[in-house]
Amino acid sequence: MDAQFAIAGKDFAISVADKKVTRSIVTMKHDKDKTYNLTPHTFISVAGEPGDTDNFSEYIQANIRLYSIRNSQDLTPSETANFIRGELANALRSRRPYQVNTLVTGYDKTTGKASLYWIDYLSAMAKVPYAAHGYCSYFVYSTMDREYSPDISLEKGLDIVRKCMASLKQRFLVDFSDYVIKVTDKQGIREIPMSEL
Amino acid sequence: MNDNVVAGVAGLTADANILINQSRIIAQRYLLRYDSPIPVEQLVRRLCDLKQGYTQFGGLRPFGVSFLCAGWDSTFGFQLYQSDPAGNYSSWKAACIGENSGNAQSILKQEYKEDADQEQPDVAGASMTLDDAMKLTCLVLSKTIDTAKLTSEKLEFATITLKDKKPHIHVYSSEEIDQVLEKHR
Repeated sequence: MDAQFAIAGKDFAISVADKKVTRSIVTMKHDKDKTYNLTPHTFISVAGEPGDTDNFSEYIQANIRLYSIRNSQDLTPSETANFIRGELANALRSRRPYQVNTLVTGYDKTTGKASLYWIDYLSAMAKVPYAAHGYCSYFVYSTMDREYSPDISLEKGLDIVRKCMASLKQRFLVDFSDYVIKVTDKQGIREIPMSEL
Repeated sequence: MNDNVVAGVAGLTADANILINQSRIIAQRYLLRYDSPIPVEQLVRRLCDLKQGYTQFGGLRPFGVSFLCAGWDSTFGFQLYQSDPAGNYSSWKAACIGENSGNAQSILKQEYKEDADQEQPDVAGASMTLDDAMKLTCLVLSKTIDTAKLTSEKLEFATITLKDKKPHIHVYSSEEIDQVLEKHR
């Protein structure tokens, strides 16, 4: 029952992930950060089978970091997304695949453009302007579709995030209440506390 | 070697073919993994790691080949790398390998024109046009090859340029080479 969605503007991208870890009818944790920074400008947020998400994300994080150290150069968001998709596709054909849905959010320093990649646990990948995974997508896609335009400002982007959260709060069975909100742009990745949203 | 890297070889051609095949595999593997062309230095480094490996142990001889690799990538722009059989490589604005390379190097040192604007490192600090560079290569060749007249039978030319913001490699046909030699005679 994870909630995660993201929006990419021209030169920034916002990603939102809830903090709950659930099992059956129990909330095991309510303060889990489901985002992982890969490079100074690229990060992922993950949803899916609890153990798999951590294992897979840390594996990806370590490999992207290894590339940066070996080549003194960071992978671009598109290269990162393609690498993640490849690893997930390889795992999919193994004895026990990762059941992980991923959103890759990044800002490309050389082109000055932000981008967002949607990848599901079957390694289907799409470059999209806005995205969501899981049950929450039934609620937030309509909001994002109505409000989004390609040239939105960061403030407008955060406004869409607020509206998405409001509609989840009003209609969705689960009350998430707390989220990790991360933004990436020219300055790099930063977290926006819920209190400042 | 790849859509964005072209190499000239000096030494044992048979050995070179093995290394070129390997580098093509490395480049394609990178493309499969990241869906983007391999950065030039990475390809050169991987190739030189392979060459260096054979200097570590006895029993097998090293690859007797030097390379000049010209390439382009989005981070560093145009680049030129020279490598030797031991696997050392270095980046240059102009370089030469093979027979008489000492003489050729000194001509290049004299005739190469530095960039007027050092603030634009993305063109590897070159202010020469493609035509200037072709003229210089013809000059170097004419002074280092000890035949009376340069002909397309003994020479190969290849250039790498940007076409629609994408690298484009052009390997000259023998007619084109004759035209170039005629022009810069």
